[in-house]
Amino acid sequence: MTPITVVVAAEPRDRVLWRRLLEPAGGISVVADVEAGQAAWAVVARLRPRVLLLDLRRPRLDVLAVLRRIRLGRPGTRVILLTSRSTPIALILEGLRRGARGYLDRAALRAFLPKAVRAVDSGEAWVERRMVSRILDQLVRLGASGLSAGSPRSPHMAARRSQAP
Amino acid sequence: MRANHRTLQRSIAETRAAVPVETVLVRPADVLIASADRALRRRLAQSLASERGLRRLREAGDRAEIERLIPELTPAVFLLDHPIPGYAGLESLQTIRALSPTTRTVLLVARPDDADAVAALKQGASGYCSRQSEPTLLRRALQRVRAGEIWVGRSVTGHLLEELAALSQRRGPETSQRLRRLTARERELVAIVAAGASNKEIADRLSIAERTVKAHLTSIFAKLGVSSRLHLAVYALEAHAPA
Repeated sequence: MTPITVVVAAEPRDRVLWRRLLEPAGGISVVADVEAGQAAWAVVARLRPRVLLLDLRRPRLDVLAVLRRIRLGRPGTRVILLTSRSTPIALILEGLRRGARGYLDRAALRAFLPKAVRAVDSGEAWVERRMVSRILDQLVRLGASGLSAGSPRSPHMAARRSQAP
Repeated sequence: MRANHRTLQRSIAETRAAVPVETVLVRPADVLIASADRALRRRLAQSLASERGLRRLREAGDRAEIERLIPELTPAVFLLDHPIPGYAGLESLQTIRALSPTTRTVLLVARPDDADAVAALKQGASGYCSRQSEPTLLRRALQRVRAGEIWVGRSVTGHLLEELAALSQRRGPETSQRLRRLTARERELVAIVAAGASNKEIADRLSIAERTVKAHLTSIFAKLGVSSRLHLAVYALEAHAPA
């Protein structure tokens, strides 16, 4: 089987670390690393990797813009966002809405990075369990506002929305 | 009698200390298991019998029994071997929700399918498991669902995300329409917020009082339907991004 091609977009120090975590894993090939901003888009457009690891920690808005471009221009590249404990949930959700297929906390990298890359490459999501209900709420809300006023899940949604950060 | 009473009180106190408050609340039943297959029902019931928070369970074998027991027991979790005779498709989910809105339903299916799972979730299911699931896994699923989470496989979540991205993309144009509701001054403010400026910095830059900045922001938040500076920044980005 051909290896999963990966581009790593982060700060220089992290790029080295992530490469080191991915390369011994087997079946995964890091084809380039680049900074997390707009430059990442050019590399993805040229190399068409199967997976992009994109550091969401900063600069945030640049990263969100890159996600949108990938979604429109290279939908075949699946994106995993790298987050930290201080990354706001609203920001992660926005990343997922823009097409990211998962996110991984910095603290969990060592244990899960290769596993997450393989999962996302095969079409699965890599998100925390508690995030799934938020994703579903968003989905139902968006779907409902496009179709009709009432949605089956609206009572749950109202309760959760008030807790949102 | 009195000693007994005290012992009872102490044991209640200990229980309270040991388990989260939610599980102490008196509920008529933890779980209702519904299946037309009696043997399966028994197996499921046995596998849950020793599980804290799931062991007070009842069984139902058909539609009539389900619709009698759900309103009576308002179970925390409803484990439904799907499909069950008497219901067309996912009609059962709508009925359950109407009869007991707090009950969270987990579907048990013979042949799991991602698209079916997505449809079930949209109709209000909170979990979707294979009938072949290991008992330990099923117990975990029910516990997580009871705790308020959604239990589906990673590939189902992958489908959810794909749909979410597709829908969000289609909703994009609405954002710029909303932005047009802002005054020129407000739009100027949004651009500065998006660049990460604090209220003080904005005030200095526009030569206005900080109080005025706050008033502007309140008005902008209301017009755009956002609740935080981050959301606002995302909005600003949307307006300038290629559609």
